[in-house]
Amino acid sequence: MGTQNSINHTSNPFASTAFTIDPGASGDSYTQYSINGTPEFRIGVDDDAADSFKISQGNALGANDTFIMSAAGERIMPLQPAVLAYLPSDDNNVTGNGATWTLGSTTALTEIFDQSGDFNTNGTFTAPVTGRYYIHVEMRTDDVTAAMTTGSIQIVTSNRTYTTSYINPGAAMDTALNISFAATAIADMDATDTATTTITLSNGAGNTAAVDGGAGITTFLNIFLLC
Amino acid sequence: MATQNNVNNDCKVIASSAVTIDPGAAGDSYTQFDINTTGEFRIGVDDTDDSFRISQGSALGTNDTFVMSELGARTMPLQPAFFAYLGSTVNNVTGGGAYWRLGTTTALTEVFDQGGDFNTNGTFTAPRTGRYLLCGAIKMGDITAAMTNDRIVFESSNRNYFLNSINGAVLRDASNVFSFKGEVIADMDAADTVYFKINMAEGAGNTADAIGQATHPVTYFCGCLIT
Repeated sequence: MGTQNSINHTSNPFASTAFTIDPGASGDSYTQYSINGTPEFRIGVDDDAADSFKISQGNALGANDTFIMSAAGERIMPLQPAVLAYLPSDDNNVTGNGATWTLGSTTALTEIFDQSGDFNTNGTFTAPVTGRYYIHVEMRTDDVTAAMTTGSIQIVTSNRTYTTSYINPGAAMDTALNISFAATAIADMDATDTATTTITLSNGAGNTAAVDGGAGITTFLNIFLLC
Repeated sequence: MATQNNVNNDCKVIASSAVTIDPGAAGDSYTQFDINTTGEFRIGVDDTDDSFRISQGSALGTNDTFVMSELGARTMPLQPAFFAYLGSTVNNVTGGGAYWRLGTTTALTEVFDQGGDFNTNGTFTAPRTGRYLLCGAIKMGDITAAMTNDRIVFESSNRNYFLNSINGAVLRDASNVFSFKGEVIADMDAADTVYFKINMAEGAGNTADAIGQATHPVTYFCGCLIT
């Protein structure tokens, strides 16, 4: 790395249209933002990563990358809150006669990814920052009976509950006694707010309906911070 | 275009791979982009929470367009995004073949409208050309046995998306209720509009109701510019 040149932003702004940063040889090209000697963020081009443009926390491109734009224009954010978790096995007798069941409350969910560690396998997501979160849940019920004539699914957040998929599961179930419920919302969440997902089937003789799980994913939850 | 100068207008080339910006004390660390002395954008680290920001104008913390937290959670507080829901029930909107647009008759309740592009009459107007995630749900009541041919529609300037085509008479629950839902990533050009509609047909009349709820959304429309 070449000599770093410090700029005190309180002095002498450049009367210029542009400045160029170039090591003049191989190596990263970047601007380091520090406050009182503590490196906070570094932005620039990572010479070791196919010349991608990065915004990285700390003082190195390639470590704690928060934003990566490839030379082809493909953008990823490796630390952006994002979750995919699924139910790995069946949970039997959870609803059917009015019981509301929470995904993850019986069998712990299996995480495929949890980019920022905000998800608990008991089914609870905790928002790390205030923002708009995309939430999608899908649950496949099983052992549905004809008497279970009312069903719905809910996304339960600290600010509000979103209920959808009102249906007659007893009429809509397939020949294997299955029916899938799904809900999607762009939800406003404040920092430390939580989100869980629930399902309710009613009017059956008992809470004898199951929610299907397995490695072939039938019941899952997706969440990511959208904006 | 004016002559580009390396780092400063004295044309002194700094043979370095990097520039470090540090106020040397508490305070923001940033780069200001001006055009003809007008502050256009500022990028850098906001000392209030050590987040990296891209802000319109000449201050971090005001008109932030991009905020990356220290942990890598990115929000875009001005990114076009909206969530609005029906706060009370609207009776007799479809069932006999009428197309009913969410937001007509009763204005929708906005939870958020980043960018101010949504009208509570149910119209979202794209502020710029891009790909928009659109999703929504409509809870319908008073569905009769004759309403056998039903769907929802995202009606955009470029094309219409017909989703969730079902036989509501069969799938309605014990209270004659069914929830329609759908989502799509749509291409929209600047100034294009999109509405969310429902159509139920074959009934004796347009006697089905769009159900609204004051606090927790059951009928809603949301969207976000994603790329």
